[in-house]
Amino acid sequence: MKQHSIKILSQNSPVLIGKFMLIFSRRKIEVVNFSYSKVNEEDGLFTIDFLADEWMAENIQKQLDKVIDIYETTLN
Amino acid sequence: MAFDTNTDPSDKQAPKQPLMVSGAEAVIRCLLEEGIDVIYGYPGGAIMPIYDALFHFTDKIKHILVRHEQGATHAAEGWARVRNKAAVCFATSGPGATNLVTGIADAIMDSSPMVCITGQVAKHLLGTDSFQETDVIGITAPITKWNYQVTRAAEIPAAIAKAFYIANSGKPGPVLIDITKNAQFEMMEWLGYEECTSVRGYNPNPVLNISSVEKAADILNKAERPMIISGHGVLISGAEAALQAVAEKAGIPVCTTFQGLGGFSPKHDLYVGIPGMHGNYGPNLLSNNCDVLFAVGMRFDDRVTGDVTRYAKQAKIIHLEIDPSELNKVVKNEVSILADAKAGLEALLPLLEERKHDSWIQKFRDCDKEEYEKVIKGELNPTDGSPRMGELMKYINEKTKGEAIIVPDVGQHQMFAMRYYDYNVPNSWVSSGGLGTMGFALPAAIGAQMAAPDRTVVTIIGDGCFQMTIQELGTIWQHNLPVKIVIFNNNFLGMVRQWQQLFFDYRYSQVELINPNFVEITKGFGIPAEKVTEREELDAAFDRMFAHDGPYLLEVVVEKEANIFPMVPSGAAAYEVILEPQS
Repeated sequence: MKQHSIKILSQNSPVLIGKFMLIFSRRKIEVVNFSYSKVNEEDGLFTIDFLADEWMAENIQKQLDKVIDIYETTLN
Repeated sequence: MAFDTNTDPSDKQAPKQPLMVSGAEAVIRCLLEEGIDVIYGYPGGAIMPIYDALFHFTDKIKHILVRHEQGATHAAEGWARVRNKAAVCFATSGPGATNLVTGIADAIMDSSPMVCITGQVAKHLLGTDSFQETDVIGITAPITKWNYQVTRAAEIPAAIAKAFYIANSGKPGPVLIDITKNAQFEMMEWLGYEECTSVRGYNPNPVLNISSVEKAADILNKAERPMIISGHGVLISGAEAALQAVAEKAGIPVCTTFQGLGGFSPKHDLYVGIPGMHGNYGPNLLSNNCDVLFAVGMRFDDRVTGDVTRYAKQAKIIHLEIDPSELNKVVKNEVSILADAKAGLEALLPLLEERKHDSWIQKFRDCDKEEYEKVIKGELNPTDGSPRMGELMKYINEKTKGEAIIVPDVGQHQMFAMRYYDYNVPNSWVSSGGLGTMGFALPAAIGAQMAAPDRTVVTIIGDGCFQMTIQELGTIWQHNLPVKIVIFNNNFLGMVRQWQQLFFDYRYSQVELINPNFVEITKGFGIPAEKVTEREELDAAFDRMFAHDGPYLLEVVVEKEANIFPMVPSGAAAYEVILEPQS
């Protein structure tokens, strides 16, 4: 188990916060930090720090990539 | 208000004069542009403007008034599964929308494309707990491929175009568009309809990585005991011929998953049955013996793998799948091929060497013999006791030549329907797999029959399931849909009872049903019906049912405590499949 950070470039929409968090809560993932910044009128950037093993972190990234209004994710 | 229904919606040129339409009318025009000619739905307060617009287009679009919104979703699934394209359902806000939830969840699990349109309270009432307001976007977020709330009429065409594109592309699934009442009333300029062909960040057609295909070919060419598991993705992508070509060239035995039935001919020499909990003996037992397992368009559901920590550990796994999140999700792959099944198989074919694996295939045939002697023979040819479920499927198979669309409900009867019917025509198995939704079959049969009006549709329903959506008999009767309904009545919730018998020491807890008179109820809906209790009556009863030009219900009282075998017990490995109860 280690701390990962995922950056999510997405549509600038408040609805998406709920969608992201469902992906984490369904898998009982511990989120340690969450931040959002508006990039422009259309785009927003979320940063979520969480605790998970490598396999689960990759799984989370794949699930986030499936969310239609997410444009890009970067996992560290 | 326009309602100029003579404006040809297929005319791609924008109207010369600006045409002002309501948001509600725009919804109907968009659906027509998408080629939709049937909607399954139920009206209510928050969707009344859309129903009013629909009133003016009834010559172009048919609405099926179901008896419960859940029925609309299952009917839409039935239609979509037969046609392989998105079907549409309507519901109002609040309870109308929440009644869609089970069907939407069912559709996401089984990759059924569907566009649900719900009415919503006016924008100024959102979040005020107003009458029939519910957060359907929040509720359906985890069970839709995409959902979106429209609050302005001008958003409607783009939202609906995007909805259809997402529902139908990549791994198909349900989407939901929630439209506030003010947006339905609001007037907008109809500028014509633009089909959606791309969505930022969404890549439903991944570029095939040829090096992964080459690695897969290399492994398959060296394999001694390869096995293909063909899933629903083969049917969705129309890859049946490509799969057969690959299997024949490389001499690989093929099994089809529960949802992959019909993707490979059951009459083919290389067909070895169905893997999974109530599948065939060979593909389960030999999953522990194959050296290469090639999974095509499937997701290693736990009903297929059993205890995944002990599933095919000796095998190199090649996984061809269009959904990247499925790759390495459940089992670790030697090679992952991210692609549509058809594209992946077609790229693989020229790289394969011609091979035969006769002694390996013989092992499956040996398993088949054992399964036949211990399970199938007695199931299909019983001589005493009440009619058996396998025996009923044998009649249905013979009388329809394995060419009907079979729509089972969920439970023991579903497993018998899976095992004892030849699915000779692709897209002929319409069943709730991932979610296992009791009550699915009767409404799903409505959609299946409308999608294929010239084909025989047989729905196989248990007595428990039937009472979950029995009201859809009214829909079947109203539209005179010639669905053949066969009730396998054992006066039990049979699958739960079987588990209670085998794993809970016969403690039958709340599984016995004292049923109403199904025949009289069905006749009350105007549908002919009869009940059979004796084996000798079966042949003639099935003949009467299939000869009848219209809907018909045949209730058969089957053996009360019959069990379905083979079985991979819960928690066991697939290779621990059993053919009979263990002491």
